[in-house]
Amino acid sequence: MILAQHLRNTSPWLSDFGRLFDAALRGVVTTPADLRVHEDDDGWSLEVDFPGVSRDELDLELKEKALHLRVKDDTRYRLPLGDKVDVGAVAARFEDGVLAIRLPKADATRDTHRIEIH
Amino acid sequence: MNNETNCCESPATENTAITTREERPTRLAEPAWNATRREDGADIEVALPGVRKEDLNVEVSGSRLVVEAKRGSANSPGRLIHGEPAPDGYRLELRLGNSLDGSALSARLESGLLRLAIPLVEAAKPKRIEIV
Repeated sequence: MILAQHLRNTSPWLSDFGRLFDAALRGVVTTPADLRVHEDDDGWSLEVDFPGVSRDELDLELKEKALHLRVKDDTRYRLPLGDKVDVGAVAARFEDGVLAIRLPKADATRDTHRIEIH
Repeated sequence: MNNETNCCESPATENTAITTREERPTRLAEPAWNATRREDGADIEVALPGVRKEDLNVEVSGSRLVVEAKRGSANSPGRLIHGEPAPDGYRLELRLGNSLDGSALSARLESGLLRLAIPLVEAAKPKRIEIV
């Protein structure tokens, strides 16, 4: 996946997302061609169309800070999430042939420590 | 059996952007579709992701088949940072071959995939001829 240059700088998470994948892994392809990513203040919404696919034919796993999506047991996608996603709160739903994955942003205050001045 | 692709033809694509009262025009896409010929008719599959049954309209007038659909979950909140925006809906117009009986069409929408089954007109159906 090739990202527009202006996106690379403004969204480091996304450039991480578009990383090329280990070609040695058979059957693993890059991100879905028609992936849509929306960003809002609280996180990212991923959408991919899978018309005619049933819920049972989709398998979504989160491991090693990456989403692993398997479609109909043959197509596999691996989407690295980077550090900005609250991996504990990732949620997905499948409706009318559209897979929607919600990736909430990790609490930004987590790595910010306020230092009290006495 | 006939050529599998000639049961339905797509007429020249027209500009399908319709301007609504809102300033942004409604973006209608031509959906991906696929037709296969059966012995007693034709099956057409139309990809309509994000479309619910109540937002789908299938019409046949004469040999003209029109599928129109509104896409429900067109866009997630926030700004699009990757990919093409999903269309607001879909429109597909096909011309049915004379041997197909469009008035007897049956339709089924499941998981964003529309399946149309169109039988042959009675005169075009295969007939077994008894050999006496």
